[in-house]
Amino acid sequence: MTPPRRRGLSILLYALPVALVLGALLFGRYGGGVGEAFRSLFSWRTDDVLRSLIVHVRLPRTLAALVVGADLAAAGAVLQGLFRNPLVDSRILGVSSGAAFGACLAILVSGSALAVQSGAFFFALVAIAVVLAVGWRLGATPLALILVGVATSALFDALLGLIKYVADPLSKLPAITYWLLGGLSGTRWSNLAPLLIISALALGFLMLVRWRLNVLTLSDDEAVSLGVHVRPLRVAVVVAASLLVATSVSQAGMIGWIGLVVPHVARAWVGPNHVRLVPASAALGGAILVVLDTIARTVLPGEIPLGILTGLLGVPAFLLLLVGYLRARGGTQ
Amino acid sequence: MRLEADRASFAYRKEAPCLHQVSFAVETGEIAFILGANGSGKSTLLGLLAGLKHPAAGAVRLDGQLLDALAPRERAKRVGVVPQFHDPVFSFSVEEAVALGRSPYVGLFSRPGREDRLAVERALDAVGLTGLRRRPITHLSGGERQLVWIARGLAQGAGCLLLDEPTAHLDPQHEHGLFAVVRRLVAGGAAFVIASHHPETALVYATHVAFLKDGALLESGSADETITADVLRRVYGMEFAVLAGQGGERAVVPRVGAVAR
Amino acid sequence: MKSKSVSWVVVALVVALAALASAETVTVVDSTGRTVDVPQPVEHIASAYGIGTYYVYALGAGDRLVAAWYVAVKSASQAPASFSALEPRLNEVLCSGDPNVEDLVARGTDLALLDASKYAAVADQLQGIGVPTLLLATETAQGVVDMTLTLGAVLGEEAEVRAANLVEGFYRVYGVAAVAATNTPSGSRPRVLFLGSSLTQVASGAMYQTQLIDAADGVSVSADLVGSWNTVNLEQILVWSPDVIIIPPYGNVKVADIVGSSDWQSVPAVQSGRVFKMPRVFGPMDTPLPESLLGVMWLSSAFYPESAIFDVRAEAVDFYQTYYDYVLSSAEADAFLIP
Repeated sequence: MTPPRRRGLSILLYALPVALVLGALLFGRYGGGVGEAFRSLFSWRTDDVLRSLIVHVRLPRTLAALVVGADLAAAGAVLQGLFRNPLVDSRILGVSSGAAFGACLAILVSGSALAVQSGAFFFALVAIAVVLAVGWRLGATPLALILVGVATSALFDALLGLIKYVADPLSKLPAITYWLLGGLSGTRWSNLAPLLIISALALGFLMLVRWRLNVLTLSDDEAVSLGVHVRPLRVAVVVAASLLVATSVSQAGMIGWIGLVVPHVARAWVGPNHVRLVPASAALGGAILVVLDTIARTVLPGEIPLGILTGLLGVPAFLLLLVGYLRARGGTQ
Repeated sequence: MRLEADRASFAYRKEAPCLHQVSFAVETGEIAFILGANGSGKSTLLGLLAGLKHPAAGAVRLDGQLLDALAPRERAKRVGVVPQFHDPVFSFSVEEAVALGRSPYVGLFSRPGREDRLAVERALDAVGLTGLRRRPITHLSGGERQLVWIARGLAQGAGCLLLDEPTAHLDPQHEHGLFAVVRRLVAGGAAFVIASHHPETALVYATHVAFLKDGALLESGSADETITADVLRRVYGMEFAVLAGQGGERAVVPRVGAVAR
Repeated sequence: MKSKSVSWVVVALVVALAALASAETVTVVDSTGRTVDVPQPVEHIASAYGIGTYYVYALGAGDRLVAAWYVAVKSASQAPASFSALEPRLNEVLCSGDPNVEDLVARGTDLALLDASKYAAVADQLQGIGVPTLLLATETAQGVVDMTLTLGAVLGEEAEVRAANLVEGFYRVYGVAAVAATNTPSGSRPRVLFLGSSLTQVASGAMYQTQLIDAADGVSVSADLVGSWNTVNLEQILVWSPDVIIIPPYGNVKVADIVGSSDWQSVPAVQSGRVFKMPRVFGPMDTPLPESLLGVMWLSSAFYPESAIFDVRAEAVDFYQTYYDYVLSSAEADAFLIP
């Protein structure tokens, strides 16, 4: 029985991303402005360049921003609950580092967009496999998973450093540097399918089990005493969250802070109950990334890397949240 | 309902057994206390009774059935655990925290339904927390939070609740408020097993007690018969006096020299 | 007998004096302003400046290289087919990564050429153990000229002559292009998009590529971007609407990628078929190599095909013959023609 005010907020929360996606289609470097873009959408001239841009360039890209933002925020939210730590970011398990290594290796060796996307995803899966295999042996406790994740991250970061060192500064290194800063400029309808499918599956799973995720915030003993199979569930959630991160990084490069900050804001808004937290995080994350991506591709002639924008926005937001959080708990102890 | 440990033993490592052939039982309507010094095996015994640990020798039975043979879900519907004191990380509301007790009844891909909400209502009412249902658990006192965990156990439908040192951080008012609730619930048909450091509380509230020393059962029986100065000396290594007051009050007082003023 | 031993002594003295006389030192100033004494002759050159290495060849001193870093060739697999004609000992001398001081000394280096933007510390180390080191940089056309003359001064007589010729060649090409530019009616300069190693990577205004475009009398559409390579999106390219698109000889982009893509059809350069990929024999001619004077000429004929300011094919044949002692095959020479 949700009180009316809360229901109103919920409606706003879920209508917002939709509205933003539609709005984003009207902005871009090309064309005379919002009005012209609007008219162009309803024009019946088949050779209209602006409409072609809107449908073939802006729309897939904006959708990708929506999905990537939702993925990263939802993954961050469930990982924070899983590790019982609100400071956890989606990068903690080493999945992003694996994906970064895979993508840059593909840039070094081939450079084709398909190779980069597949390379990123493949090595993200390698990272997941390593973390689960070693973590399971260590009992699949939160601490074990984090430690293995940190080690995996460090390994792939070192290998990435090696790639940067041997990359040709003329033709390869700029591409590598740019990819690492994050961006969606390469998104087309043709390469969007993996992101949509994997996100649907993984996010769908997390949405289905989201009430059960509340139990995972209790200690292992309590959760077991409530009849929950903790280890398999934790592994399943880690896999789902990792897949979300893997597919997002493969599509958009390294984008940080969404997985850390958005769940906090969502939690402040709808509370820690995953029943509301997971969809709220996803909606908010998607909305924010749509706005940032629209800025990235419109404000300057050159593309502003998304990772830079999320960092510039995320760090002050995080500090503000931290101050508010500490104040609420009664000062720094 | 009868939950018993039958000559149960447990060891983390072969060379260091922490529980040795302990027999202990609790039935509907009883409040059983497990007493002993630190490291005597109280938490281990509680863990065995909860089904969180598996005995290396001997058995733990619930209504005659081996506890290990029960599916975790089934066990959860009958035995509940109230953990030691800890600060919750997330600020769930009282209602949401108690609702977690319905986990054994709610499917993996589902959310609590009408039945579950009713069970939560009843549980909140039974411990007297209905008025605080929307309060975040991070904004409760220690005593109120213990009531939340007990309510959660009731929402599980558990006939027996296991409490690990529930009053360690509570002031006298909250401690006895808690036990007032416990007594009320027991009168309504529950059973409680309480691991504790406080023989004086056991003296007042327990139906029967068990003293553990170095992982073995030292003495067990009714509270009045078992809590004696002699047993206390052997368990805690210091002198106590067990007193009875005019109005039926019972007390355990340490025999310590008067402080020079 | 006595006169014979006296004459031997005289011969010995004369030889000794001659040896002393030829033990000279050339003093030059490198690109960072350091004054360096370079004892002559220089027999073992180490060049950890990818651009400078090509000049060593152009000045006829390629056979004296003991360690070489090349622009756009980090491993043998990256060298174009004709590279073995330039450097037959490629596997011996090719280096990549950061220069290792001990390795350079082990190779007997008596002159080290280093990238001024990266290896100032290495230069100090080498100079400290007595190896003459030049820190080189070529941000501008003037910088290229200065470096050419400096290298010519330290690499011997023949190199000095070649250097003077090369510099004269630069002045000629830039001069002719400048004169032709005065005749171009204003407003008819082509708008040029210079791509990088991917379809959405473009050169900024600060880069050498933009200077070449200017010299060839074109206008770079991305001249107001800063930094190094910038990434833009398709919309921005359509906004710029370039008349000519130039693809460098390195990287992944092919003419067919652009011309065959439906996204690019509304770009004027695609509609008029003016999308060109730079040819390459040894090094890429959009970087400050000696080849960059061919780069200016080639760009000029891409921008003004009817004006025929330069006969690029003939110039290319002449250039490679004169400076690299390399005869272009017919196919290689034809690659310089603008289709």
